[in-house]
Amino acid sequence: MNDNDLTVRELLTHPQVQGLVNSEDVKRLTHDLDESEASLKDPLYIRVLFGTGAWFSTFFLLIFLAVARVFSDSETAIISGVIFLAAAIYLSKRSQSTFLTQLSLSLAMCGNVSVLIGASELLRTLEFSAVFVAHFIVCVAVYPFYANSIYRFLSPLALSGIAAAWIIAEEAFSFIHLLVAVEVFLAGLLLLHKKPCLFLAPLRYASAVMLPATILFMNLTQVDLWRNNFNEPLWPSSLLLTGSLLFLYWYLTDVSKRRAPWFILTVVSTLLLGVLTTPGVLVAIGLLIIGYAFGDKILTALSYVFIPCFLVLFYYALNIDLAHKSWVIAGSGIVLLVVRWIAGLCLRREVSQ
Amino acid sequence: MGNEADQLNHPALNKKADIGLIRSLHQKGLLSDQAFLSAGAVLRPVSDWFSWARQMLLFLGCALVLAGVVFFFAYNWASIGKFFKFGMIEAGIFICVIAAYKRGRTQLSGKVLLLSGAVLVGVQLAVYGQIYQTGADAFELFVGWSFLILGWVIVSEFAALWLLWLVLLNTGMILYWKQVGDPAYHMPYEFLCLTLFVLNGTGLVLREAGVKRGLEWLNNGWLRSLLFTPLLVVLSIPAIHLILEFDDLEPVRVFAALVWAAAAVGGYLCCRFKFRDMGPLALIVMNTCVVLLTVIGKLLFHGVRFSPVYELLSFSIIILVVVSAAAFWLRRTAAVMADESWEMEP
Repeated sequence: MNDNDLTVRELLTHPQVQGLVNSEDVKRLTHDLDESEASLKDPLYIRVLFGTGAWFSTFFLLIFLAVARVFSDSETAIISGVIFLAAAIYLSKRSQSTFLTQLSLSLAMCGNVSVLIGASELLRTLEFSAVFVAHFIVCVAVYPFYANSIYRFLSPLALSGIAAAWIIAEEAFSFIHLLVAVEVFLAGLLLLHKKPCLFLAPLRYASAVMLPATILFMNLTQVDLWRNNFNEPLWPSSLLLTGSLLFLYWYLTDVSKRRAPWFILTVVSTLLLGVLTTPGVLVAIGLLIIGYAFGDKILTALSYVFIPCFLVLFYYALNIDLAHKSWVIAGSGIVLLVVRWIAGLCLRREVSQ
Repeated sequence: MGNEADQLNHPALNKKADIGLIRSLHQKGLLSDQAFLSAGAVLRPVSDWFSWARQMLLFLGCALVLAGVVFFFAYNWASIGKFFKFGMIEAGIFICVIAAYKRGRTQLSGKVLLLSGAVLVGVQLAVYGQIYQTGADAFELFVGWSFLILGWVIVSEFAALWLLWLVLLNTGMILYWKQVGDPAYHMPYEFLCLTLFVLNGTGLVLREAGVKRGLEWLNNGWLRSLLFTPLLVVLSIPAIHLILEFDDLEPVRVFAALVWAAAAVGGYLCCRFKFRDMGPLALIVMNTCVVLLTVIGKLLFHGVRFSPVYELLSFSIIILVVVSAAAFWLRRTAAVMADESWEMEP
């Protein structure tokens, strides 16, 4: 399943590619590869370290601000928040040193939370609607100017979390399908765009994480500790996710191959799954396919982590009884195994041609 | 022509071509649409998609079927007779094992079938406990489960099954301490931490020995990091406890903390100079940051007489300093290791 072991040179001189790349392209490509070697972005573990450190620092900074009575007054909280955000943007443009990058991230997170607290106090309410609107404004205002991938990833993700919490708090459960629809649309737009800009890369990953996070959150509210009367049927989200998967197959497949037996098998099995299964399984399949199609190990790893978390929470969710759950999950598994069997029987010869 | 040949000889083109890279080049406008599609077809032909799809369908399908079976028996459907329940599960185990034998150990489907059979053994034990209400402690289920599947685990040559076995043993030990060790024998939790360290440490050592002997099925990069994580976490708990309650110097806690320190240093040296693996190195550094910040926090909040307001602000900045230093160290180490790898290449 791994990409063939070719170097870039071997790929460019491959008979199928050679005539399509001229010397000018090779020159620019070489220059870009040379430059990107020199300025490699941080590996994932460094970004996790940064994000975690900044979070803990923000936590103590917020307590400091609370003890210093900055949050006692809504205007002071909002103004401090805006000052922290401005300072974060200034520091990020001024220096790329490790400590100042960390400090700017911590200030940005702290500023963001301060504005939310101030907005809640100003509107004299702790309702999620106020927090959602305030965070949306901050997110939209700060994203273009603050070039920190961790903040740009966490901020939209937090917006989705607040929206989910708002829906659950208001018990307007049908809106969860609207949230899923918005997230599917956003993920589709950003992940499948032919030439997405780097500026939106963290938002792209945030949109990929939002969907499974929303599904997990949906199940979490049904665990005995924290139960709301979520009697909303899941079929609208299943329908939407099935449609998105079908669009994904259509997008990834060449026009000439869309009548091939394997494509028809894929479409039919997805339609069957859409009827049988729960949204979590469809999201897992979508993430796996996108991760493999785009060679994105992060999305693939996300789906591997999501599947067991989803199954555990689904087990404890009380909105569907365990017998029904067992049929849904086992039935989905059987469909997948049958598709595998059919593919092995009928399609192996065609594929090898 | 000569110029073109020179361009193709540039060392930057020695980089491995993958789908992610050519997508990135296409997005930057460095590859035309046609070239991108052709390169994609070369790197990822339909046969690759087919193999990947079959593998994913197998993993996901089996995981969902097994989960469904577990859910079904957890439901404890009263209308199903006990012998029918036993019969269904045992038939499932039998089918999985026979099918695994027929497929063979070398086939992925054979390994996954053996894993499924191993999971069903646990379901069988759980249903047995459900029906007969033996009053046995939960740890006995997990320890018994791991004992019963040991033979299959040994012959499977499948890292995932070994991991499952390790998870079962860990769970059994934790439950033993919780249900018997602590209530009946007042066993300190530090003993549990040390036992888990020995268990997972043995797993890690055996894994490294296996890789050295050429067992390819153990040679997954993520396995080392995955086995390292519980080693560090379980021993850092007594270390942190010792720091927070320094007045209460239990000998076993001091010993556990010393073992943690030795494991962290030894692990760092091994991963840096022998295995040259950044994943576990990063875990060790992060774990050390947590312990170091605990020491600093303890000194700041209980040792130094500052106003609480300034203590909070100072600690917030100290966290950034420590994490920045850790990130700087990891970047530097990665760069040095990359240079050393370059020099070592023929």
